[in-house]
Amino acid sequence: MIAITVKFLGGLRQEMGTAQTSLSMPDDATVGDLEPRLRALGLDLDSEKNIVVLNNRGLGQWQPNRPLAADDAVIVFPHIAGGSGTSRPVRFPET
Amino acid sequence: MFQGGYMGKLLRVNLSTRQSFIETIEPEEFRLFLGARGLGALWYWREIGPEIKPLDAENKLFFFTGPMTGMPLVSTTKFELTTKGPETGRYLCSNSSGNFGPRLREAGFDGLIIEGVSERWTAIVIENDAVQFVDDEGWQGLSPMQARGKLLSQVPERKTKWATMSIGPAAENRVAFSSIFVDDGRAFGRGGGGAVMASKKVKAFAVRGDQQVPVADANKCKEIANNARTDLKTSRAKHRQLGTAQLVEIINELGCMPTRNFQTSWDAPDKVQGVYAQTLRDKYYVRNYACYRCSVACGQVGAVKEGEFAGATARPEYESIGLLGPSCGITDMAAVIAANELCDNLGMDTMTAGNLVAMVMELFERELVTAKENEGLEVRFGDSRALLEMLKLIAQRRGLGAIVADGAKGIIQARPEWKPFILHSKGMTFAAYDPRGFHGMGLAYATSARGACHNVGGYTVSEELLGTKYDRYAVEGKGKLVKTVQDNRAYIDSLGLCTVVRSAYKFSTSPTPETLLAITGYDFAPHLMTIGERISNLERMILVREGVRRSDDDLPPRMKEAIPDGPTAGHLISDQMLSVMLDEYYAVRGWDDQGMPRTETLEKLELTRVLETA
Repeated sequence: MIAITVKFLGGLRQEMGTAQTSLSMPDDATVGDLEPRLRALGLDLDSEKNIVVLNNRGLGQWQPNRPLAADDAVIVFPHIAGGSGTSRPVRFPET
Repeated sequence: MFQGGYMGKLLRVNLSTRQSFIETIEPEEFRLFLGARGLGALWYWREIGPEIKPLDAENKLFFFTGPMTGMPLVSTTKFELTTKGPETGRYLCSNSSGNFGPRLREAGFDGLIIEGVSERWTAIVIENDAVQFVDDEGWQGLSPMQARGKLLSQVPERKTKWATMSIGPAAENRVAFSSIFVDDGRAFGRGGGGAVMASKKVKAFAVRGDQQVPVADANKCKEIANNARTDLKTSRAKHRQLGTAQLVEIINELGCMPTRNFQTSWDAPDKVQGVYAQTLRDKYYVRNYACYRCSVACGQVGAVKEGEFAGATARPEYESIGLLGPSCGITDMAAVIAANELCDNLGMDTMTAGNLVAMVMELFERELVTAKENEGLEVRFGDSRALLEMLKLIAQRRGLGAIVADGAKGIIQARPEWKPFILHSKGMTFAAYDPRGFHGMGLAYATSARGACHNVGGYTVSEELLGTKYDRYAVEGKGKLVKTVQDNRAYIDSLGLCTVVRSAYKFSTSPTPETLLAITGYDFAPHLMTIGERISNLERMILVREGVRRSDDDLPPRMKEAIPDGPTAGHLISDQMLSVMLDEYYAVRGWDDQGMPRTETLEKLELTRVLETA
């Protein structure tokens, strides 16, 4: 089994009741296996309310079949923007 | 064309002659530019030529509201300042919350223009269409809040309360990044609007009125307001809980936190947690702060109860914490609250002030300046007391503060050898995101209409993590991203609405029609992104008229150095990378390779005739 550390930042820490947790994943687990495990923790991953980052890149920017490794690190945090900046990402019209 | 949303008039006050005039705003001008930021850019184009300097008598202050300002919905608080700004020496747009915009509308106006120079220090009181001046040399030296209190003690009590704007001592001393404060804690923070107001010898404004802005469909507005309140209760719960300060932890973990004057972009979490939102909440929280008609109340008022900074109170937002905190090597929330409060009392922008004190700290670390040049004060990273003392020196133009008070452009002119240590674009210093960790932010800073800024320039961080076609370090795709974010923001800034609540009204890149239909009776929705693009292009034409070309869409030398450590170690934005992003950005904007809007672009956006009116 591989242990993947998941850190909760900002207001999510209080919501989750902990600063971090560890996910035990099978040795052959891939990036695509992460999302359901994160949802099982109770994280709202719909409507882009929270952002999931794996090794400093957005989770969706990794190939789903990329194997997970023991030193992979996940952070999850709520959508917040500084000052009066936008707090929700723009959605692009398809061109 | 419009059944509501506009008063259709502006008030022009000439300080030199002490006359005021009521002028009409044409429906066509609302159709093309919507309001607030859009109208400010239009009037600036018409009335502020490139030869006018920021502190010249010919410069003007334009305040415009949007169709949502003061409307019976949630957080309809925003209005816009447009002027030639001292920090960049060029076009400045800035938006603020507070009650002033809504009250100006109740006085009967969508806009207020201040021109000329008063002979004596004065305050301007506007009640409906009556304008009075309160001359008093005693206005000088007061903090923005003292000036507000003094003016409110002199106006008659009315059922509908007065709203105010005021400036502090830093503005009187023409600090290039002095702010205009609105009511009891909001501000036109960036760019130096305070110094322009001081150059006209106006210390404060008060406004109120007895009129109502017409609404096309009042019942529908009520329904939309109820739905927005329900939506925001859950969608913005974390804003209410911890405010924007929670970005400190997030941005640090992402390796994007300005640290010791952007020498790096990260510090150990056990150190930085001293300025986390949770620390603010646990040790300093007093109450939430809400703007006009806002149910989110994301402001977190913090007070220091004990220790060196006991008694300090402020409402620190992420940008202020990042730039007065880690960028100055400071991770003590009490010190950040004290520095934030001091900036508020002096009337200075926390962001540029933090950036430039961090620059001074680096100059001391590198032994490029001495305490002798700074009235005996050494200013080193992590020294909270020195941070506070340096802020005072800047506001009073003493020691090195005499140079720093002129902002990035002034500093480079006086001491060109300090250029490598100043983080700015077009003279405006960086927001609290290191673009080497999110390259879209680099393009946003470089192309922003008012210089390095995460609002006007665009906030790309979320999309650079969520987008699937590129990642944060890619250069391809960022041109289109930044254009879209900027145009979206340009129309939001023209509505008179706070951007934090925009999703509750579906003001995205594909907006839905109901809110503006209920307010104005006109279906703006299919045109809003085009309006945003029109405003972006008009602002670019203003900048082009003021001499801006591709070489000005630049980033400072530090961005070309690799981040030395932390999660983003090794990343940089080279000249070539910026060039690739600029090429794509200009192409999607319909600009030539020097960043000049093409004739066909201006025609497509119905700007050709507008531009002929200057």
